[in-house]
Amino acid sequence: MNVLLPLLFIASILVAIPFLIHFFHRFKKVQVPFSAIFLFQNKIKQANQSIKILNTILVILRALLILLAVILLAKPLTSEEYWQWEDEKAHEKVTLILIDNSKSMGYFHHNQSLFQEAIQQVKTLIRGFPFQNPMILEKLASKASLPIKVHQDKDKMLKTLSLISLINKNLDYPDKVRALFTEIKKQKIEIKHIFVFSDFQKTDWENVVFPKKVPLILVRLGEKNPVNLAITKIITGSDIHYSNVGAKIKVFVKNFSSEKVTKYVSLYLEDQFKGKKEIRLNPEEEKKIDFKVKALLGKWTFGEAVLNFDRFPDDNRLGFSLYFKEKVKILFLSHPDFLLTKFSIKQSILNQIKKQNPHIRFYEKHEEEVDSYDLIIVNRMTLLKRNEIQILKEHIKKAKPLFIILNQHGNVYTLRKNFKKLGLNKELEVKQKEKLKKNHSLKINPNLDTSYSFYQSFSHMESFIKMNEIFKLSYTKGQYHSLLQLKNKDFLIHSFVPKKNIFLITGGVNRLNSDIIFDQWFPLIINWIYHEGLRKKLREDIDRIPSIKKVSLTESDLRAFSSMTLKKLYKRKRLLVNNDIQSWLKQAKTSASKTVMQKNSLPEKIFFIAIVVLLFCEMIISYTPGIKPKQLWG
Amino acid sequence: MNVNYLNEELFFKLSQIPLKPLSFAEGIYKGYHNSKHAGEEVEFKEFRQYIRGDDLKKIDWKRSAKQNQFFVRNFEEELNYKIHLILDQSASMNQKGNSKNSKLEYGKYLLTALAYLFLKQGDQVQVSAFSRQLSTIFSFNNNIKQLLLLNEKLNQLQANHNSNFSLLLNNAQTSRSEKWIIIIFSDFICDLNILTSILSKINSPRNRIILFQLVGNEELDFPFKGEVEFLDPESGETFSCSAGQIKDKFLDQWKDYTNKLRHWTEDQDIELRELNTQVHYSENLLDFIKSYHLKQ
Repeated sequence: MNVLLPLLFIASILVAIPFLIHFFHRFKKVQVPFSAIFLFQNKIKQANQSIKILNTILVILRALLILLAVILLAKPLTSEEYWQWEDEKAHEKVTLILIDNSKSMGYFHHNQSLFQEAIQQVKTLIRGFPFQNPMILEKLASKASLPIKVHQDKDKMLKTLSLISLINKNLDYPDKVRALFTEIKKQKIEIKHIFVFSDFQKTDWENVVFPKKVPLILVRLGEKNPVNLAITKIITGSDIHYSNVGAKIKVFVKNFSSEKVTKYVSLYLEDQFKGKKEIRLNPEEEKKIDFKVKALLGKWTFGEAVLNFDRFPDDNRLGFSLYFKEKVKILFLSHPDFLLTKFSIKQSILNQIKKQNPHIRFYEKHEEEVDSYDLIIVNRMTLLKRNEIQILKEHIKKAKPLFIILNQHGNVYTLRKNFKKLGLNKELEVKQKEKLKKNHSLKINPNLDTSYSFYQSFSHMESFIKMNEIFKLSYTKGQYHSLLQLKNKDFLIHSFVPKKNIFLITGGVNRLNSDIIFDQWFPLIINWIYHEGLRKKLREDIDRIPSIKKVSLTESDLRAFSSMTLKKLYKRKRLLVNNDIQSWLKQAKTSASKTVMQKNSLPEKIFFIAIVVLLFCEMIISYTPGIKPKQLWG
Repeated sequence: MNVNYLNEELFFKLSQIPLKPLSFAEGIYKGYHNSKHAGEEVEFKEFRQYIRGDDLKKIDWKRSAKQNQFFVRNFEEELNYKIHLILDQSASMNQKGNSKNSKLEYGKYLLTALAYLFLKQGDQVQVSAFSRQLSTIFSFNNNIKQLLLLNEKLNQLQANHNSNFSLLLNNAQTSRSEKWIIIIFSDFICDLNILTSILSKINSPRNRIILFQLVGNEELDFPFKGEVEFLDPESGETFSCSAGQIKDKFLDQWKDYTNKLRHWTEDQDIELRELNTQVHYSENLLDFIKSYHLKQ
């Protein structure tokens, strides 16, 4: 049974009163002295029993009568009658339903998207309406369909609803809503209610204006702040990582909400799960989580950090890329007379890149199984073997870093010939060998272009060098170098062939300058050659790699208007913000019933009161003894 | 507090109305008869042989001639009727109902008035009360001044215990030599069989019985309503019921009972007067006395 005023069933407590009065009087009966008691014989006794049964039935009937009056007052009505309170012009007024079908409504909440939830609630609303309730259905993220269609038929309306889909773009609603109301006014449509089904994200709702006198019902879907965490950035450090060390991935997560949040961040590398870590954030706090990963070598690896509540299909994920380097292979073709040089160069390399701790393998000679080397250091340019020249040629072709250290050993001819074999004779033309008799101060020619970063490090240095002999090399334009000035004569000391990634140092190493050379020049050179050269090569590769997906959330995507904010925003007396259309339908029914009650309340109330009063009077009369016991006796 | 049962106003009225006991004795059914014997009022009892010393006036010459012996008539002396006023003082007589006085009080007033009436005429009056026991309250001869004493005695009388009608059998009314007018003041609410059997034993041609049945509106109207527990003041028996709903049945039972009693008393030549205690006793009494005068 449906009733309009279920609260009135509280009055059914009055049903207990006949029973109470009955039992009260039964247990508190009047005792009357009566001498003719012997006349209460069988007939009267039998009649008394029947009367008792009758009285019980009477009490029940009284209670039922009260219950009936209560039920009638509570107004049991059929479902169609619920809505008969609508005034005669109700069928002319239209209900406007606006559905947010923007991207943010794709957010997953309780195993379905907000959009799906909105559709379900609209269906509930349509079904809950009386069968003659005209409606307009509009999508906020789509263009307004003009002229506006007013649907009379519920079934057709439901079919139209099933055709609405989510659009993967943000709302453009201020203008859309404005255009809609302009058209409504133009078509002279009278609006009865406006329903808006949305998640009310913080974009442009301030500019949406609704007609003021029309009841506005905002159905807010999802949570207040559905997604309040986001990965803001990922730092991988160096592009190049070493396989034996692994790469450190720093994932930065920010909490945009006003509550403490605890979530998990997972890391994936090439779609393989690599680990999960918990992060706890205070309101508005950003923290980082470190992951350490290792991956396949010698290629670019792509990864993703994911916040473990992926209710958006493409949100809360941020990608990154890594390059994992195998062990560094360095071919050191050293001169047998310069063992110290070999040792010191090795040490300086190791010292310089010890932080990165790569796996470095030094090769004393070329080995056939090695396809290529990361760095080749040649200290015996005049004593190269055929296979060594071959490997050098290939190395130079690939513009891999090459460090040539000349010394006074060897002849010009051999040097020139080898440079020619390597294809370097243009850049490095050997002129002659000159003898130097005394110590010389080594300075960088101030006229040189010091814009190149390498020379910026060196430009302030001044060293003494003592060499007996030195190869005099020419240099071409575009070639970075430093020259030893000796009495206005320039002697090529350093040269760097940029395109070919070759660094050449000429001159000997002796006791006087070894420290400087080993401790300062070599490390810088090695470091520069290795990292700059190698990285440059890698960067070329980077350009050829497709861009990594970097999808992140903006703050507006994460924050929705709260109910209170919406109420303040629209400043209306009759604004309802909730997330359940069922409760609105119930409220509407209650207010409808109140209207009905107000129209018909007075006679019904009088009727109910009259019944109850009459009943009570009857009960009082029937239960009251006609004579007081004190009066009966002398 | 002492009640004065001597209603001077009523007594004055009563003094204007002579009431002969023969009216009572003969009853309205038999009519009034004068005694043939002048002087003393006697009644022939038997013939016996003359004994020396007998009064010669008593010799029945007719019989003596027949029998050739002298026989004398033996007569019983017919005294004035003795009036026995018996008041039921059982617990049920305490019932008052809507009346001003209880049945006992009502009976006392009535009894006193009748006592005065008879005493004024020179009759002997005996007043008794019974409940569990029969006790003679007062016995006096023609002395109207002793009404004051009667009044005092009546004041001491209280209603209690059960009414044992069988006690009436102990009375000297069974004596053949005396004639009694027995007036019983009671509600006569008891087993009809017991009552009628006792009364039938008391009833004789020598005695005249008048029953004043004192009833209140609780018996006549049964004005009770609602849930009531009736309590028999004599037996202590209780009966719970919804009084308003058994009223009709009770009144039927009462009517049936009183009818049975009436028919029986009529058959037995016993006068039964139902007096409603709501009516002033003086009215009832005057009505009663007038009814005798009308019948003559």
